[in-house]
Amino acid sequence: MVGAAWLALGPVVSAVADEPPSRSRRQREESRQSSEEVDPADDTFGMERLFVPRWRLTDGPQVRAAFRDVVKDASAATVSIECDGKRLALGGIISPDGWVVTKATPLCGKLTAVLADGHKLPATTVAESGEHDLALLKLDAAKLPALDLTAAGASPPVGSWLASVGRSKDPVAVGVVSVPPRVIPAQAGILGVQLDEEKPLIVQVFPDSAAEEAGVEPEDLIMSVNGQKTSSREKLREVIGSFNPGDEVELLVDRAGEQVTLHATLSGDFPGLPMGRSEFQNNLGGKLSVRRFGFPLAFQHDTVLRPADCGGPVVDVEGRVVGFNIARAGRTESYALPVDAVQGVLTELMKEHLLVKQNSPEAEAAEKLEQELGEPAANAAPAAKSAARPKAVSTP
Amino acid sequence: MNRLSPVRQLFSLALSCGFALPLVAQTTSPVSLEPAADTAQVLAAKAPANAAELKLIQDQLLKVIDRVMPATVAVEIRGAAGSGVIVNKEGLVLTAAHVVGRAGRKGWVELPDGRRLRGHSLGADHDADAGMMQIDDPPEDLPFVPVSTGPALAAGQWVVTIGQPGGIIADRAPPVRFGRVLFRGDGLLCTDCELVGGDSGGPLFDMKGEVVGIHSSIGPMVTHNFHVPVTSFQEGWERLLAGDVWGGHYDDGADPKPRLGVQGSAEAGNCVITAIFPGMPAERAGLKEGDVITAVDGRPINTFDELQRIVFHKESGDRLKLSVTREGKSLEIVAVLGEREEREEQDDE
Repeated sequence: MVGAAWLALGPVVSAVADEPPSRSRRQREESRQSSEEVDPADDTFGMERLFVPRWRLTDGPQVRAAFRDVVKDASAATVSIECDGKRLALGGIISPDGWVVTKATPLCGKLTAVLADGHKLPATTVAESGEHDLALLKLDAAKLPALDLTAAGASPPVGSWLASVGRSKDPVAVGVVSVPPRVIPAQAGILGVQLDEEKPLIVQVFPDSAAEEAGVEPEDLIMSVNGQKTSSREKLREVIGSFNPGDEVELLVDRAGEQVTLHATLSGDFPGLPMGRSEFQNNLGGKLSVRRFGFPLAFQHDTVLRPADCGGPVVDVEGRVVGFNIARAGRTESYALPVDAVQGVLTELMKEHLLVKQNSPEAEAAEKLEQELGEPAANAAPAAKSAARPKAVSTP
Repeated sequence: MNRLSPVRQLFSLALSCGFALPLVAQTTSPVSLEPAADTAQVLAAKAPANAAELKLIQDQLLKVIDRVMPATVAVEIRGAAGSGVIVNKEGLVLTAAHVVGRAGRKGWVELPDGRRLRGHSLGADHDADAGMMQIDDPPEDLPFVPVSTGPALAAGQWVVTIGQPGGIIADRAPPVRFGRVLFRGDGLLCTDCELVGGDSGGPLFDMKGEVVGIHSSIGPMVTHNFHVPVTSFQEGWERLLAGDVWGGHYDDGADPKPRLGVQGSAEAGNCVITAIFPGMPAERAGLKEGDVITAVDGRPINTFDELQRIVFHKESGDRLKLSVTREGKSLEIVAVLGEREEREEQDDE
């Protein structure tokens, strides 16, 4: 008799994928999915109560402890990016002057970086690459330990150990490379509305959707999205679909003759969207990152990460930084951007930033950083034009 | 007169034995990747202790992947997509019973090198979830991996999972996952190699590169991944080859899995129902949007995940007593888990 748990099925009782990082939701606690222990009370297989000793787990404390020396250097240069005491992402210090790279989508509000030694520093977003979902932050600090982004050579082969680095002496999680670097096609952003057949007119706002969160109402006529005119239903769908889940957009809306500006954080789906069986299964075992698709190049690994564990460095068994975790994408996969691709993006961002703030102290610091980062490796994927949006840097 | 000296007689016997063995070996399996002594020691230990031991494990894993990847296939039988593994040069493929369905069905097998080969289903044991497929016209250089004939897997044993989760994705090699055997029970192996739809029928390998299991199912927790041990195949080997189909409640049309018919919020703190599907048990029982389910059969729950898990392990026809809070009032609602009324659309699996 086969055990009671089945792969291909499961009830229609479906889970919602990770909620979009809207401001009000942030207040609520995330229940941490424990991947560490079989709940002794979970005897629903019809078997005796089971206790799986932690040493037996691939990602258990004993195996992770074996990586202690491996992650030592990198963890000194890893930070936790927080807002209101809650962690949004991990990040890596890439220059002793306090430049930090992290994942962009989760960032919201006033940011604080918590260093490995526990020190807290305010962090300012200087630039972002929407294409790679990376953000470059600046901490007001000097002589910080920094990651060496040039140590690794080619991308690690499938089967290589990977340690996802955190601030503590053991890695946050461990796993192996599952698939070598490839293009991850984008998932279209969704508002969660039903539109008129021709006009960009809202007929229905689905509950718990990005549109509802933003305050969109039925009968609203959407005039533009981020300044792009949306004169038809087709055009509106096209423009919204060109964004990624997690992207923030500004909607200019005609509400009974009045012009209203709304801000929406697009999602990848919403509770009312029918979920296929494989989508449902993909959500079993833990929350997924909102922006988990649409990367020019990423390698896949089987490490179980929480969305808030993304943004930090991942090292191979030699302790070399081989990438930055960018998304928890499904039950079996996490994605990381290869380190040479990240170097390329950072160089681009620094160049754009320099153009904006010539001859400022920030520009000098940026130039210095560019030199420190060095040339990206010859076989790096072209970083491509990153949609950098340089933000104002507050003078320390 | 034929009078070979006793020594010569013995010698010729030995010779004939010597010649016979390699022939047998060629049709069953190539030599497996026995790890070196120090690697074997680390693999047998409770956990690796340091980077040097991690590297020994990694070196062996890279060798195993190299050897076994070419024989790991995607399987397509009449619209159902899963995975499988080629286990001999004649093109025998092991897969899951629920991928095969029944014997004699036409299908395809796709190798990681891109070759698509025609095949047909052989037998299926729906109790064990063991199935077989035969490649119709195996090429000369067909890759294959041996089936383990060794002892049963030990708890903590390192294993490698390959398959096509989510179905075949262009430009994506079959993802490799590495894990350990956590426990065995109910005829299945549980490992912490994460599986998802599309992996069904795919191979679980030991660190010698031999097939020790076939992926079957998952539970809600990410460490609950179930595989059919290859010993279950061996028990029914001849019958499977012959195309016998037995066991389980296999039925081509019906989908006897339990359904409640609700959608809920996955946020912690409460199990809130956010949608009721028309024509399904929840609606029939009188559940409404906005209801908060506080207990199932007297067992308090706090999250939607917990409700999912409970329903997941039930059977169609089971009654669930739900304790519900609606607009401040407490109610008891009994729902009878049923089946979907409309036909569920086939997606990859």
